[in-house]
Amino acid sequence: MENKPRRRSATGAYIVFLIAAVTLMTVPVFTFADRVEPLVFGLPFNLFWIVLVELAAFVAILCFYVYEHGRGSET
Amino acid sequence: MSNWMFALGSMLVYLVIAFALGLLAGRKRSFWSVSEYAVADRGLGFIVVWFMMGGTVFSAFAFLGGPGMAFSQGAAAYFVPAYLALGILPWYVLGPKVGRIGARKNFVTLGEFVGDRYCSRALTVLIGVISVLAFIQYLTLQIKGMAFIFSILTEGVIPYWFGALLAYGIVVIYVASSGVRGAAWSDVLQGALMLIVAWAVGFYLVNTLHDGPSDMFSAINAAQPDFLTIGRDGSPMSAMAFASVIVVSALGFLMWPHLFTKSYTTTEKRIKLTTLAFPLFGIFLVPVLFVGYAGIGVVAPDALGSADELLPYLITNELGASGWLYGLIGAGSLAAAMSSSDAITHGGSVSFGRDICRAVKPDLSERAQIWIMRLAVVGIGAAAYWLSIFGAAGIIALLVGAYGSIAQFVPAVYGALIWKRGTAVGAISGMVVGIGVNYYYQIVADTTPWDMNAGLIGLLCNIAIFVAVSLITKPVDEALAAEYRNA
Repeated sequence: MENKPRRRSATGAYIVFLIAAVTLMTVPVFTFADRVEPLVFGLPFNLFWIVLVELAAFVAILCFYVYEHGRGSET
Repeated sequence: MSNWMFALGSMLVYLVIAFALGLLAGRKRSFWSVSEYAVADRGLGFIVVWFMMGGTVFSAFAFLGGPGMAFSQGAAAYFVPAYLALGILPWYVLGPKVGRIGARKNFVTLGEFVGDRYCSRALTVLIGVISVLAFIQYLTLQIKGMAFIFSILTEGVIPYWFGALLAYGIVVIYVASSGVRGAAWSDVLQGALMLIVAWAVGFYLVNTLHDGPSDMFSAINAAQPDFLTIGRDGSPMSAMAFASVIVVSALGFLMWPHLFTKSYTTTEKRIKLTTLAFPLFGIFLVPVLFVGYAGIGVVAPDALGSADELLPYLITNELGASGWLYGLIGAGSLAAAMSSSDAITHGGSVSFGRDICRAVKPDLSERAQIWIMRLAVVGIGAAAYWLSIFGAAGIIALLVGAYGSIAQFVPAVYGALIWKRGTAVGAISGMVVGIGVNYYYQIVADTTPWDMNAGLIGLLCNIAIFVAVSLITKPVDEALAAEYRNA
């Protein structure tokens, strides 16, 4: 706390997150989720999987943002 | 009152509001400033940037192409929500860097960014020419969408050519007068409208034609096993094709100059907050695919001229829908097509003015540039309109090739930010080879190796050539390369 850096950056971690997001939605991870049954909330499992990954991506970016810029006001 | 009158009335009301908003957005702003016209003096607010990016990305494809793809190719359409989110995610890192360099060096285009880093005006012009050609193709698709919606929902009362002229003419006028601000503010209206309409229509159709989504998907799966999966024997798309199209989009989507240059319009925090919204935009698109899945088993595939006609067909033939629904769908799909067209027309005019005209003749005054850009809006608009109404078989292949070539900017742009050894000769030769390979597999050849996306094959060749040629040519000034890498 006593030596708080002016600006925190997480570019490296963000790139790892990007690669993870691509593998979750394509090969190899998507391959395992690529099935119709069971339907979840009316969606085929593979489509639900994509929605789930996108929700997770939203939360991840939110964390990156809060980490880098705090909860300060927008602008 | 008959349905087409409702449709026409609500589309006209929508057009008037969009027109007024687009024109008002440029009020009390300097008419003669390139920076204002091109990047809103780098000061757009968060909500506006959010809708501008969303509205721009969410085009006529969302209302016509997306449902058509779900209807005819099943799970292949899953790539739509996936690529939409992934395509924008790199902006979180890329956007602030590009924005900082652009503000320091007063850039407003992608060509200027790349040309400056590699010290090559030829590279700027090459990017400018490809961008303008690709933009014309992209616009042609949007204008056809608008014309189609107008003509089918008014039951032909408004002819194809006039609907396109009316909707697109309005776009041309507010872009020429208000620049990026006109496009951005009208996108707020258009974005909100089309999201509401897309969800309303998706759920309405699923619940009218079927007993909700579970029932619908179970029925499809029972009738056509593997239609809703990727990479099985009966699947509509192989795993390689699915993965490679998503990878190309994730890397190349931001290379569209009208998206790339939005990095210059706002601040770092707003760029990051906008990126945050895109995974949610991806989810918003799922109900749009419902429209397509709802048509399976209801509409015979040969009843449609092309799968893109599914939504209007469902509305006019299967539902005996109320006039209100006609009106909503008309206004929503016009909004989707227009909110992309305005950004594309604007981007094309800026690329033409800065990457082509100014790069060829660097001493152009600011006033001359502004005139060139505003006139280019009309010129590019007229060319795209003419092509979409009358077509021209000879140059269609050229435009489609350019459209597919945008991702080939990836090595030059990302190379600028991460690799100090990249050179102009390397970037140009890589780009030319990448475009050539992409063109060959996209247009000439019938199949691609391992069913890989043509753009990705081009990109791999492009990267190899870029690296190899850069290493044997003279590097640029160390300080310049460092400025880009450390931005």
